Amino acid sequence: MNPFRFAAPPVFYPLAGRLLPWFTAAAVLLAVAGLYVGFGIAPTDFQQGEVYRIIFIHVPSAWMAMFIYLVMAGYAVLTLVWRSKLSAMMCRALAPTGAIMAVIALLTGAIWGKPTWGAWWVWDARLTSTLILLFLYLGYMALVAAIDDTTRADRAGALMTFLALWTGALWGKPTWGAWWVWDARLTSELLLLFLYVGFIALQAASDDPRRGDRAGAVLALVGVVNVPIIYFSVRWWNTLHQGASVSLTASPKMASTMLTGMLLMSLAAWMYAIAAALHRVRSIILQRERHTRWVRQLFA
Amino acid sequence: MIESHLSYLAVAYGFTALAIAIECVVLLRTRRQSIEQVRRERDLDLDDHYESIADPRNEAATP
Repeated sequence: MNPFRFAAPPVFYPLAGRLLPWFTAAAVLLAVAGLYVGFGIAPTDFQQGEVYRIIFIHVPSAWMAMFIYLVMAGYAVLTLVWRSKLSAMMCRALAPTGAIMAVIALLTGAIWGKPTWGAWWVWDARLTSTLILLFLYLGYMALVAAIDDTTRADRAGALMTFLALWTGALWGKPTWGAWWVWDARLTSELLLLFLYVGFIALQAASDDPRRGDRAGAVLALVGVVNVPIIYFSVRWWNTLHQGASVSLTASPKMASTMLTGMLLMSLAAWMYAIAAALHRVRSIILQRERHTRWVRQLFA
Repeated sequence: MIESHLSYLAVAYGFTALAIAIECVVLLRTRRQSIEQVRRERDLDLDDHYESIADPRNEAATP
């Protein structure tokens, strides 16, 4: 069996439709189990009290925000190298869910930060890089929408400049204290450079109907540099944010029931993200392929 | 102390539920719009097709 045949929209569309209820059901069941363990079994934290239970949504959403962007970057490579139509559609389908995960991670983090740190927000390496991730998601969505629209490249260019200025400004804001090779100013300048390179590549994309896909793929690839920065920020810089919640090399620092609840909720977030992406990509396939015979026959 | 912690928890979980509910509503709406668009354009194309057959200029052009 040729696995590449699933990359054809007429084959993938019904497959996604069949998988969708399973992922939705798995997301609901895992979320119920995770909330039961998180609220019914996991003990109260001796330092933070009850408020630590925000971890059961904060950590899964933060993980998914990073992971979805990595998956988008993978699809971006497929879009640029193999010009796969479905990969570009999957990129578009994943972006809104990734953005929502980033929003949830940032807001639940702020709500958790207030009682534990005494502040809703600090210009901390982890928080700032996660905010930049949110901007990258929003930038991606606005970019592909702008290029699909008639005013095209000038709006996209303005957007890229906006992104470049804001991400640069956000990185310029904090003073990290302990400097390393990847210091904030240097990283921000590199990010700025990559954004400009992305913009130039975008401008170079000429009158092709799928230039929105390619431009979005370039931005997804440019922005992926931010993901390791988020992940390692708690190690590279002195931050207020706590270290990694789970490590593959060290034994867990939290009670096993807390960890179980968090992992169940993470799996639920994973299943939800897949279900949402499958649902959205089906709509995108219908919109893009609406003039084809096979789509019209679906609703005959 | 516990009450204030519970209010933080309620806000965090309430916001998350709201965000997911909004995404689900948007997903369903987009799907409905996509299906409507396919049906509308297919019907329009069919109408155009029938009009072009019924157009007397087409008959005149036919030898």
